[in-house]
Amino acid sequence: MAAVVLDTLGLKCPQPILKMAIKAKELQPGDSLEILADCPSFPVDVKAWCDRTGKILLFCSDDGTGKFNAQVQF
Amino acid sequence: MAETGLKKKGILAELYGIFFSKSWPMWVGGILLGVGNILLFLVLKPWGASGGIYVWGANLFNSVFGTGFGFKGGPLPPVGMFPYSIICFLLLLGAMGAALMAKQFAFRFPPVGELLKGLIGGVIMGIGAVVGKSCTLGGFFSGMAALSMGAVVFTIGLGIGTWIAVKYLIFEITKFPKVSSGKTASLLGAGKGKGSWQPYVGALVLIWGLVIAFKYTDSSSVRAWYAAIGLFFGFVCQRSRFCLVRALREPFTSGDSKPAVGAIAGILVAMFGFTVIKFMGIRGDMLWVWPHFWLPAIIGGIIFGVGMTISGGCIVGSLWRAGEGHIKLYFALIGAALTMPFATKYIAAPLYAALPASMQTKVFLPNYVGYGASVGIFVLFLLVWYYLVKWNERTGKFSAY
Repeated sequence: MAAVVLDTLGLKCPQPILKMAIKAKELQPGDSLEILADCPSFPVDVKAWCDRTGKILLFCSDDGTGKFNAQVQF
Repeated sequence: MAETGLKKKGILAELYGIFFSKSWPMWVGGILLGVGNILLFLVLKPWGASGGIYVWGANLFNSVFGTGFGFKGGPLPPVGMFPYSIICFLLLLGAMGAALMAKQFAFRFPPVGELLKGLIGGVIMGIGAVVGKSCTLGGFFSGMAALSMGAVVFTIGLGIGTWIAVKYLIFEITKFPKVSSGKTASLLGAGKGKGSWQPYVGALVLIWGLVIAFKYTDSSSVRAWYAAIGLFFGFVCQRSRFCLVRALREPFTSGDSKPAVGAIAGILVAMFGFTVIKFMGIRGDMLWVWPHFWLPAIIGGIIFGVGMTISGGCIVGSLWRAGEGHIKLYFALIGAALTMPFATKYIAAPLYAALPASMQTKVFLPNYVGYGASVGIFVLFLLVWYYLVKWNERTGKFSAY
């Protein structure tokens, strides 16, 4: 099981989710993907993506500086 | 007394929380913008943005280089006197105030490649806006509400352009990931132990916007209302993250239907108001029905759709995100403002001179089938669109991922 980190800091929608979706193609069931983002739309987008694709959004936390850290379980 | 004071503080904190703790649903934003659009039409004309940005760019060139650009065959209005340039500036200010109030403001510097994409997307948008005589407002959000068939064609063009640009973005991220990689920075953002100043500055920014609107009452009540409604539009756009680019793009990317539902809600509300205004003869029935049916509308729509998807925001989306501090969207606005005067003179003018009159007509649907049937046809179009985005959300048929 791989744990992959994807840095999308500085990018606004749709780049973070596009990058995440492309990275997702390389991952297997059981892998986890951690995404760093600072686009204000990201929390809504990542939840919508997980809901639609059946992935588990373990958390999407704001570190208090406008940066989000999300973890998706495949 | 102390307890009462605490209760009062709690009530105000609760009120603050309602407005600023989380984003409003997009359909709420759509409805509020639809109502604002009706008010704007009652004051003068419906909502538009590309004309205001043209006036920014043309005034800059005229004052620095003496280029002598005019506006729609007449003299160029000053930036501070043209209602649509006023609304653009106040929209940016309203969004900035809202972002600060919500502690979401930060100057966000993306990688250099993204800045270039903002600029190039803005240039493409500028060309599309003058070729199609519209942007996502005049040729889509307000144009559809005005029962213009040219707006339907422009919207279809926007959809095609968006689809092309999404394919490009996926290709770029897959094959050339370095374009959107590199050093990034964020300035003045709120965070742990910092940024508590933001709501106070946000309140000052909003008060400044209201003072500007009030000052315009000395010279013109129309400009005053445009300023006040512009401030309101910026506030609503930021709080609801209302985005016409996402309304057209998300079906091809994440499949999320919420942005499209927000746009549909806004168009439906505005259509109801516009129809009453036009039917009752309060304003001219051909207002916001542009002479771009059909070829300029489809070509301009496609070009604009490509540009807005590459830059990440249409004109109005760029304005409110610029207010939020996204530097990429400042580049998009600069690209559009600097391109539009030249594109009007050297691309749109020769194009319209060469096109036969049958390809650049104003088509106001009620002139052909009456108001009742026209509204019915447009509502049907919106219902089909609603059904398609909801169906696509469930099936992922057209989504990239």
